[in-house]
Amino acid sequence: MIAHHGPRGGRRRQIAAAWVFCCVAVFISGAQAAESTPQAELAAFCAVPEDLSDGGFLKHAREAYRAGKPLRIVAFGTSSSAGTGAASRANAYPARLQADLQERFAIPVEVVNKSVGGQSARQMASRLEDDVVSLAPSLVIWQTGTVDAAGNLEIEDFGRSLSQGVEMLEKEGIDVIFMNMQYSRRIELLVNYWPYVEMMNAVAAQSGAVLFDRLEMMRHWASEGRLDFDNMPRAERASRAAKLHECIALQLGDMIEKAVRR
Amino acid sequence: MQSRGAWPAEGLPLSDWRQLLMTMPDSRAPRSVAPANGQSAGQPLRAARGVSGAVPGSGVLPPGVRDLRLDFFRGLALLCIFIDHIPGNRIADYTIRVIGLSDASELFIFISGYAAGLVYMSAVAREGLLFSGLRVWRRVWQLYVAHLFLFIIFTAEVAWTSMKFDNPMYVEEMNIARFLNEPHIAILEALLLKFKPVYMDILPLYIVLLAFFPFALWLIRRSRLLALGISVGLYAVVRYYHLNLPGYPEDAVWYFNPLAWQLLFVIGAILGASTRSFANSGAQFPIPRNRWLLGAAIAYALFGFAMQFLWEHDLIGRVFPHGSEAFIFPTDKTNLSGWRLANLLALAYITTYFLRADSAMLRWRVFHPLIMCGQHSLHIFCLGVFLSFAGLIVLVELDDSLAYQLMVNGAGIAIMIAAAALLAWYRAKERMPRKPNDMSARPADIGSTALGGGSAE
Repeated sequence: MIAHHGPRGGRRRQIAAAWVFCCVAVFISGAQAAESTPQAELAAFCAVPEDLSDGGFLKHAREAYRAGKPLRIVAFGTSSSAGTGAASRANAYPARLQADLQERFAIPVEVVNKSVGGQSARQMASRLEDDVVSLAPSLVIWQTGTVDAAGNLEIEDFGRSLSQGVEMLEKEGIDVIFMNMQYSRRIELLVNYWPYVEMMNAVAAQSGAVLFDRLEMMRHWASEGRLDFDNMPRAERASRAAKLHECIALQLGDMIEKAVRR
Repeated sequence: MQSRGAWPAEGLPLSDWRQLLMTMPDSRAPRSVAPANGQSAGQPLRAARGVSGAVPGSGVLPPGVRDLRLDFFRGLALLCIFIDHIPGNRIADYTIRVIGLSDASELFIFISGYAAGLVYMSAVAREGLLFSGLRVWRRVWQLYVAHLFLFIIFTAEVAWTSMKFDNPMYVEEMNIARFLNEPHIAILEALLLKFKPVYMDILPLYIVLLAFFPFALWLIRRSRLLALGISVGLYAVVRYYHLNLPGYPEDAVWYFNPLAWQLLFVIGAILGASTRSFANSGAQFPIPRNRWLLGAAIAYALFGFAMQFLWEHDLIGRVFPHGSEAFIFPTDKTNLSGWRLANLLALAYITTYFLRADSAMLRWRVFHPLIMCGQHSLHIFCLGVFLSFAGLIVLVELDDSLAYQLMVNGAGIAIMIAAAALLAWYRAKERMPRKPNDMSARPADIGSTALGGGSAE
């Protein structure tokens, strides 16, 4: 085609194409700018690498979703789920997750927060029956590991509590998302998380539970300079903690939505 | 020259014995000098007096000549422990833990057991069990004091960190600093070795193992098989019933369970105790050199390497779907899983098969720093623990980029090597201005032993 017009005609065409391209690009970016809602901004702020947001398979939650039944979720954690440091329970990620999921799904969503500070995995496992199974949810977000690691508790025992807990919940028709520790570089001076993290990863892989890798996500946000809790003015504590819980809720929402719609 | 080894029957005087253990290798010496006439370069003539029986190139050291392989691998373990104890350290992906299921902890405990068996067994023959037992306990005392010293440094670090970093968001994480609210109890628990702050687990393990070592020595002298049997029995019972020593705070346990780890130490000690007598009979090692055994060891080591590689790189799920790797991973380090134990033993067998005690490689100048570190293991170990604290503080407070990580690792290793070189120089200097026959009256000697001389154990 170009050969028919000769070199000069080809050049003119290229220039015209470039103009069109530029116009389209400006138009699209303008449209994007117009579209830049608070939600999109938050999503960009809370973004994590692909391998961290890649969820798994939540069988029972998906069944509930497909049957159009209300989706009930129990947040089952320790202090960081109960809302300590995030000012209040209403600010913690479970409450935000309920709002987030309600926007995503047409079915009614309920997130019940059954978190108690300071409990080890074993203590939590003994509470599963009363605080989780009795509510008959389709999904439980089990946040644990910090207390065990900080207390030098037996790693094998930690693993047994997790795997027995998942096994019991599976029998009851409840999916499990494990959530691991909070990241801070300073904490690494005091606690060796690694064996517990490794154990939790292994139990998740072996039992079919889904892992929400909060530790690595927070490490990512800190390394990007978005949410650094090690060096910050005291005045920003509350707002940054609130932002963190927003991000966790958003990432959890993404993970649950993907798993349920898969 | 007597063909029969003079160790321990003829007995060197104690001062000679100690000197032998502390003599450092001299890299400037010609490589071939080592075992030819029963001396290694840099060692006093008297040291190897009247001992022989070693054929050059046979891989056998004459009695009384230090096996540098121990120092070499202990030095290696110490450097790896330093590197591994800096969390988030990317250099730690290249320490010896990548070569198999076991890591530097197993290496350190095994070599420590081996050296203890080697040294104290002959000491018992010369000096009797009571005296040797007291000598072991003197060493335990040094380790205990060193541990408490590290504990104080750790406490200062925790106090500083918690002062700088108090955020209600991390209330559970900061629970670790709770002991600052009840220091009277924390100190008591630390004295009882129940309270072991993060990354300070291995020295208490070593202390407990060595504290019970005189009893093991007695058993090993009676019957090696009996000693091994009791050790294996204890290991089996402890693993079956999930027994561990109590820790602090409540419900905490020992990260390195001494009741399980004693097996590795005892195996090392039995091999060490046997080496001397086998060396006298001209054998290389108490375990026979057998091609089938070597093949099995290599096969297992390759298996361990492959599994560890898959695990470290998150590929294990591709080979073992649905978590079927659970039979091995995550390996139970606290209770020394059989997979880890077997991996260390396989690696040790392969290493001693190919790397003879009189190998010229051990005198290569590049390995000299490692060997020096291994020869002053207590000092270098404690320094390493301190340096990993300090390095982590640098990374946390300044910058944890790769450049800083490289700098922290490099500086730490350089400091450890420099300290080992200074110690070696100091000890050599201490001994120098003496006439050969004037070894008993040395004021400096008392100082050196009190400071942790006798680095062999």
